[in-house]
Amino acid sequence: MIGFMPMLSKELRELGSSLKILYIPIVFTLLTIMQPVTLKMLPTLLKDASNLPEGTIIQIPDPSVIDVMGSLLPKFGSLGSIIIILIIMGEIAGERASGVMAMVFAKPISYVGYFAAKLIAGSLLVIVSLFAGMIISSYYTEIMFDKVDWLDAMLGTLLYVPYILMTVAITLCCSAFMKSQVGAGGVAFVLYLVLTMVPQYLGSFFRKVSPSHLVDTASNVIMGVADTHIVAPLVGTLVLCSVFIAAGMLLLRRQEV
Amino acid sequence: MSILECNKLAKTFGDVQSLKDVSFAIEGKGCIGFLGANGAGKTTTIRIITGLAKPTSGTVKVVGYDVMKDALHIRKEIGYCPQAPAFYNDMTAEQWMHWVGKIFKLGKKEIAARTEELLKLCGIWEARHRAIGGFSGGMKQRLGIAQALINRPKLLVLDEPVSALDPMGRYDVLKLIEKLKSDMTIFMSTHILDDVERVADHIVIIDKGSVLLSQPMDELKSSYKESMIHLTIEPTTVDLVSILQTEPVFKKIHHEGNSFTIECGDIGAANEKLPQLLVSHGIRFTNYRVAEANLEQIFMKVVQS
Repeated sequence: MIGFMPMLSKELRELGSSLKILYIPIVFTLLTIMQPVTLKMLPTLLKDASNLPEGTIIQIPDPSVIDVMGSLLPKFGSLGSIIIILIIMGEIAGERASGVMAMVFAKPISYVGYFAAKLIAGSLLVIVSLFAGMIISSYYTEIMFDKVDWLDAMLGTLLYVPYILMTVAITLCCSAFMKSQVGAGGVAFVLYLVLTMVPQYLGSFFRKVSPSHLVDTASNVIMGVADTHIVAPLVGTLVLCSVFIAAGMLLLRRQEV
Repeated sequence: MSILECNKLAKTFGDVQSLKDVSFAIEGKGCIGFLGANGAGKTTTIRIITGLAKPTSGTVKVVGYDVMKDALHIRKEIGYCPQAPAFYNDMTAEQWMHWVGKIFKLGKKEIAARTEELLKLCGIWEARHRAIGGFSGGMKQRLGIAQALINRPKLLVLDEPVSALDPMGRYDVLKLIEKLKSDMTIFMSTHILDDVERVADHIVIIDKGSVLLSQPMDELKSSYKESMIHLTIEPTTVDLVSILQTEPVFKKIHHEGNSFTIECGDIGAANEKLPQLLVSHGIRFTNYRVAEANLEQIFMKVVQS
């Protein structure tokens, strides 16, 4: 981990100077808040958007707060992951292409220290943004619908963290071995789709340990569903995270700067 | 112990063999001019020396350590400025210097002192609070050299350090190299031979991926001491070329009208013989000048041979 601390301090400083720490939480908030706002406004939207004859009555039962809260993370899912891929894809490939990586690795900085600093800063950014989004969305859900169980909401969000960390790890790994950042983003997106969708067709074991199951599990925790099995998808997702982190470090070391 | 030792370095990119046989050793302080035409393999060699690229075969030792095995240790001992140095553009020059100082684990006071000293030395102290993204190519080159010096390296590796600079910038950087070379070994690649001739103490010539020559500058000049005589004569009917060709001391004769350039093996013998020949054949001359071979001529000779 030689050179880890200077690299991390540089990464954290850059989060501030690039304003990522400000606009990524806003983007995540917009993504998560869309669901409660849409559900609340649905009757009005339908009424305004369609040319129904006067006197038509649209009756949509008000969704429960549990349903609304349970839908926050699945709705965030793919779009949130695409945004994470877009944020992270240039972290290493971009530095290689610009030539700054040659300046960095001519100094006593290890590949592990460099990769770990990027991983921690990227993870911190998406975790802070996710919690900001979930806290603000839960708050507005409480205003628009009913009382929210904050403990369940935060525990469910915490359980979702390995899922977004996996997306960060996949993207950094691709960024470590691809020369172009667009290429890194493309490969990361394909890998993300494969890892989240394919296990559903591979039998019950793979379904249980798949990252997609973790999203359902996190939603169940938020909704306060008892008898939720969290260990298998949690372990499965963490194993995938570790594999991509290790592969990323190895590929970075093997690649020439 | 050699400060830098390359042993049979080879490097292949797909089907292209960039380096075939790069072997040389450098001892002691001073400036080493690493000369070669574009595409000769200078940058590839430098990238291997700094641990940024891996050789297909061969070894490199820097201050006694193998680059492949002890890359991190070696990086503490070297300073490197690439041909087109790149930085985190949102940082200021001062922030970059402080960041590099932290990588080398220097204390806060030392970082501040070195930053001031080096930015002043490289002529960009006034721009220390400006974001590097707004720097010109020349300013980036100067900052690249300044940051490469922060750890007081034993070996400073500069890849084409003056290529992006204007004449004033070139003058300043060469002056800086002259000043620094008494404290460290400077390994400088370039194809601007005049610059090397001014500052280098040792020359390594590379062509088509192979090192053709590695010699101290003074030895090189004396071993290629095929000095020349520039001669201008008054119009005459005598065939001077045929006369000179009979004497083995005159190796090559180029002439244009009444102006002659005569390459000589032994300048002493040639200086003795030529005036005698001119007088004996009644040839009067208007200009007679002896010139030593310069680095450009030596380079051309080495590469062409």
